[in-house]
Amino acid sequence: MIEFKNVTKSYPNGVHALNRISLEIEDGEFIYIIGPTGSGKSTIIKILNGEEVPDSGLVMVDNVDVGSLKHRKVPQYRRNIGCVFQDYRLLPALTVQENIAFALEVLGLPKKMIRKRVQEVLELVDLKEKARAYPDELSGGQQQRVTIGRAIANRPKILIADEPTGNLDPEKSREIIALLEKINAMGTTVVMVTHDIVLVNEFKKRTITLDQGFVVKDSKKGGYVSV
Amino acid sequence: MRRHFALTFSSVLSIAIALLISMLMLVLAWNVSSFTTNIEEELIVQVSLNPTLDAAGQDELEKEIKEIKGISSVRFSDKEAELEQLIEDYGDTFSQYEGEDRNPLYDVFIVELEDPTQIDAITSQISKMDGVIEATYGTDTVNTMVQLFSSVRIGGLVFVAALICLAIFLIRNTIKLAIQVRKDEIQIMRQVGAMNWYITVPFVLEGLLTGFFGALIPSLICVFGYTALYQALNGVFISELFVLKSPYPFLLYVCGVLFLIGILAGMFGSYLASRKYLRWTR
Repeated sequence: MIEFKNVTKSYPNGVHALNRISLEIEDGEFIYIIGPTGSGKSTIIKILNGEEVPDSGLVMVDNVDVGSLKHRKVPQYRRNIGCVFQDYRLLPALTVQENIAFALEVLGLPKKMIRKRVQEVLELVDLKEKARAYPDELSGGQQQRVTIGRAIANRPKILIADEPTGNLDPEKSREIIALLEKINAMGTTVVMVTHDIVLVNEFKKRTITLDQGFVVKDSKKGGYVSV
Repeated sequence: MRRHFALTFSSVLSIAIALLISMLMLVLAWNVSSFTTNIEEELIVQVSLNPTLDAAGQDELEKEIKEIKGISSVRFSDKEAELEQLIEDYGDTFSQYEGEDRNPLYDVFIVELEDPTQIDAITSQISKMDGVIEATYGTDTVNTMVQLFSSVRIGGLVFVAALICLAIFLIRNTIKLAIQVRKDEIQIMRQVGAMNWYITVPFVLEGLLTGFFGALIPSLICVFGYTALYQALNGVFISELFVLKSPYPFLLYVCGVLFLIGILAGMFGSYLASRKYLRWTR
């Protein structure tokens, strides 16, 4: 479970990214966080990720107080959280399967286990026939699927997706959402930041709308309504 | 390392140059230090005694001189022995002074010192004592030389220390660049939860290798160059006074120092660079 209690965060340049935000996200939920640029969406992700520390308030993820996590404990914490970004962030010199394996090698898992898990993941993201291809030989949608595969390879409890469809056409975006739904159905909590209103209206889920650091709407039934 | 060969090569080269200069300074300082020891061994103060001084006064004076700090030995030599030494050193022209009452020399104390840099002070102290006509030592040139060598030695060490700092700085910069090149990789590692040491260790190893190869080049130059020089000069520099150190085991020490500096500077520089990067964010 993810819990934000009165979380405030401002940056040294004076921007108040989050103002007394309170949120609860249950295990196994799939939620959208939407809002215009500068509304604090990215800051929520950075705090969940352990990159930023809230100025005040409490952020609990699976009973871990993320804000007061010690520097050297952050890596361990991060293993429970998969991240997907708009710009894919794949290593160009590695093939698809190597990119996925890389995330597991870094954790020091045994080779045999890695090989098995990579096959599973490739099947899940439907890229088995592209296993030996390099990222620049893939389309944007395929690259994003690799990134998702890498993010979930370690079976994290939470998957954070920051504008995963930002660079994709509607057709490919639907594929990505379908994949995220598939992952969600397997028990992973999915938090997806987006400003693709078409998608939000088509695949209705709980939708949290942010504006200027405030939660302006938290709709359980989903869909975008102008405020 | 393979992926950014040019970068690694340039850092190896810059470290090699820094260590090469360090090596030259080390060889120089070490040799100068042994020159100084050679010369210092010959540094003695000659104290001429007043002929009117009786045996009791002489004992008194000897005791007094021995009490000065930094004196290693005091030896008495009468004027006949001194004349014989003179004749032996400079030839028979001085034989005319042999015989009763014709010897113009004085009885002397030969004073040897522990610390040659004190020679000036000790000499003037002795010359003020009762029963002493004069106290002299070698020549001004010898004295200047000792001073010069000691400053060369100290200067050399300071220079080497500065170059070590330079080497650390160079390695740190190279690794910083290497980290920039591999920023994406590191970011992904951090994202999937790699421990900080997991990210740091490869860079430290890279720094170690860089330092090792950086030390290899000047070490080879040093081994072959110094041996060749030693043989060409027959083991002495200009005169017999300046005996070069024999290549073995001296060169082993120099190379050992070079590798130690290279490897430690390499590891330390990489550690600094990668630590700094990892501390940017949580």
